[in-house]
Amino acid sequence: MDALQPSIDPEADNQAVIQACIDDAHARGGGTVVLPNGRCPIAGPLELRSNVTLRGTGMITTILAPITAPGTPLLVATELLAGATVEDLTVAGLAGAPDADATSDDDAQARPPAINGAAIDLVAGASFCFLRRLRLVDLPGGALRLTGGPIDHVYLEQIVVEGCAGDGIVVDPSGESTAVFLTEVSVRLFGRGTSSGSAGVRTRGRTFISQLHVQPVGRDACGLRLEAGSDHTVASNLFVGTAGGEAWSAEPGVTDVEVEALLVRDLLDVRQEKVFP
Amino acid sequence: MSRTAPAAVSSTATIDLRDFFPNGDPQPSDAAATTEALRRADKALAKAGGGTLEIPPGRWLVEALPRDPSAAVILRTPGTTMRGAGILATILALAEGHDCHVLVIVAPGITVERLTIVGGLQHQPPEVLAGEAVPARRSHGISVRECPAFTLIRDVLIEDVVGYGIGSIIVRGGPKPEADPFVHVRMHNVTLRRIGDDGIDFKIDVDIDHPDPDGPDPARLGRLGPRGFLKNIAVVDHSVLGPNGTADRVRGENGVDARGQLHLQNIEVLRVRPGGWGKHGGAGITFRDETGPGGGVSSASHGRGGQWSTLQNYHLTRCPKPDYRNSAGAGVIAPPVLAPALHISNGTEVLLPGGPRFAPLLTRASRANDRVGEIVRRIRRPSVPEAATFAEMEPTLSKGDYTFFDFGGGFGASIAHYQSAFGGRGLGIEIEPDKVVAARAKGRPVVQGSLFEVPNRKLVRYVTADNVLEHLASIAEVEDALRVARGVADEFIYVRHPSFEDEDYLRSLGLSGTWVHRSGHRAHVRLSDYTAMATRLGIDRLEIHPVGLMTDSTDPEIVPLGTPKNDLTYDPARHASRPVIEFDREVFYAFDILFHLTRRPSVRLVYEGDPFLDRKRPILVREVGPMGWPRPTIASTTRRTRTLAGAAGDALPPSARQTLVRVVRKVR
Repeated sequence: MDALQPSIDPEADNQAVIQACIDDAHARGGGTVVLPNGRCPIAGPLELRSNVTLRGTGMITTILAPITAPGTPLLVATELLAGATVEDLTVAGLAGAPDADATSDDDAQARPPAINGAAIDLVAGASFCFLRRLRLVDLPGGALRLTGGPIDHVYLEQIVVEGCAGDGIVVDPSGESTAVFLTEVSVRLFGRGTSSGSAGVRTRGRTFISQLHVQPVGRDACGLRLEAGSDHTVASNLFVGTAGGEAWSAEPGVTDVEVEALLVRDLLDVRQEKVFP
Repeated sequence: MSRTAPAAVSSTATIDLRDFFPNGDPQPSDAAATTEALRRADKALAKAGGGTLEIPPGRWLVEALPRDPSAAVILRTPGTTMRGAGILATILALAEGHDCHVLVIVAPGITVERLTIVGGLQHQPPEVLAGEAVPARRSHGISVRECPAFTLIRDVLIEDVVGYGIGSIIVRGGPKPEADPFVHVRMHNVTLRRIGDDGIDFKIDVDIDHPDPDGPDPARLGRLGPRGFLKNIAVVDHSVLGPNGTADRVRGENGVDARGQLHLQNIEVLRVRPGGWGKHGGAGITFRDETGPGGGVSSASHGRGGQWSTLQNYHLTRCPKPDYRNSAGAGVIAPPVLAPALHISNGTEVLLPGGPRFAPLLTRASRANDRVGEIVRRIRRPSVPEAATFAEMEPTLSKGDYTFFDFGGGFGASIAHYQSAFGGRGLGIEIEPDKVVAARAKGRPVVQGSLFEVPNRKLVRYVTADNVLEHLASIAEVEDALRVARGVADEFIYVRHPSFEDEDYLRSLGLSGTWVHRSGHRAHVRLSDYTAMATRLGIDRLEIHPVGLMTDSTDPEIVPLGTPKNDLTYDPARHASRPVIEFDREVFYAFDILFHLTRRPSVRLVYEGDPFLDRKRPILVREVGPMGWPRPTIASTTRRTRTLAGAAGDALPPSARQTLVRVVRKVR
């Protein structure tokens, strides 16, 4: 089976060539587009298509990054996305090196202004989609959002968010959601520079959550936020490091939520630091 | 742009299905050619010693193999990966007119990923689909057999299958040199929908009565059992075909039928079917018990029960029962004998709307399980609290310190019983100081106090009152006691109460029951009193299980009127003569009454013997919610935390302990 491998110019815009491969694979009824090692700058968002796999060579080796307007989402789906996969790559928000400033929360000047939406923004629902082994770094908006349609049989696995404004990961279906799985995900440094009320993970649909790591949760923020529509969510094996914010919370009216094996660390409590540095 | 082979294949050989078509013209709609191409590809993989077979996008029709009509596609080489172009892009579908397993895996170490498998359900005759006839065969989507081990099925959708979605773990011909059977069977990100039987079925299928002399030792297989890891599994509409030809469209099949040691996480089973007349319905997730000595093979367990399995994070929806005689589908079925050897936690369950509301119901208790497994129950030794009186400990009590309160704890025997039979950590509250002293001397957690000292705040999951309430001063005081219990418990109140129903009838015969006239039995509460109390207390679901049926006056606890109050069995030498009278009604010794405080019952009572005969206390089976934890509401979940156990936690100052919290896994 042929995989499409666009030739990437690390110094120029590759949006058109990658998009052509995605569209080509979609036209064949499905296929895989493989991005090579290194940076893949794009000038505008790539439209994901149903039954197409977009794959890098590894979570840190293939880097999809904006070439100019750093505020733009990088991967979008404006129609219902079915049977698609995005895996094994980094999505970087800043046009510079993806590692720059990734772990420093001090220098607000270096960051672009916040935007709405998310770096990976599926705005018309998703069905039987896999988003996994992704590293989402230094994003001017949210990291990952699924919204605007049914969300069913969606697998969000092995995702690392390192620095974003607003929410880290948002699951916001219209109507009921079934079989949404979020496993082995870590969200660090979300809600930077922007808002109060942001969440590491925010869901408005029934979600299975296991092995989630969120840190730090600032004042007015929330590690895991369960909102209207997330009834019957089950979550287990969670770690949340809080710096004044809530580890998790549910909107009033959300019922039958089960949370188990929750480990909360108070980052402001120096005594903990002494016992468990 | 240039084309390359995809990255990262597990073997050197990567082949494309299109290269194996007999006439060189790959047409997905040509079932005979596609089936032959797949057969040739399998042969090529065998020659190469494994490799990756890639199946391009398309709806590839397959049909029964001419030489083996039970299967369309067979993979027989360890180290093989069958990979589609995407979960919805590549479809292997059974052609119309064929009725066989779509994919059969006969070797260990085989991976199937990124494709859809479609069985023949939609091609069944209309009478089968209508539930009026039996399907000719019950073929599976994926059938893993011979030596299931190191099998990986991931990113796969299986739909419209007549038999099992995935299953029938069959071992023939003995363990393979490559691997012991059942090791490391993994299913990740698998969806099964519209399945005739079980979504996923684990079993060992060896005929114990006629074992294959060249085959494996059934007893050994029993001990091996499947060892599987299932993660992110969704089952939507299973058990959709009728039960072996009867007209009601019901078959008691399971979303996941768990035999062997399985680790399940993130499991969703939607729309579990209800039962028809006299039929049990489907089930979400069933852990089978092990029958037969030494893990022997039986039809129920197929050689291996589901003990030592874990289930975490599940969501189930069940269809309502059609009427009260029928059974709603079950959620998680875990036989009581397995309870100590299972960890089930963190689930939510919904009974879909549309069914009738429950009314108070007089039922004969089920004899769900009278087998005793070879499982040693691990009962945590209760510890005596420091405080000797309830008043002393009440201010510092917080939710979760105790699982239940036993009203009228007496000498502590009931505490010990309900800790093992119902689970959790109990505290007995006994008013008589000398009983308290005796109970504590035996190491039983009983404190002195009146049950009316119990505060009106939720502290425990449940309250037990075993032959206690009848000792209260009046029926009104019993209602007050229930009000106290409702105030302190989250889930349910369990009452064992002697039967006063037939007091008047017995008296009219010149008889009494020892349990009726016993001294100290002051509150002769009858079932009608209990239902009225429940209504006044806003408890709209109670279950009443009668215990100890007597059909005539020869029962040793039936005595003539005038017998001294504390003579508890009839003694013809000392007592007045007793007429032999056959009762014209069912006279019971006692009732077990369960007042459910949750919207839906979270537990049910199961009797290990026949409760009509042996009067034993029931054990509790948790139908929904985690096994060892309170069924949490939002409010209780946030508080459902424990300080870090052990020295590290103790070293912290109290404020840090409160913030550094975790939920410790509950071990029963």
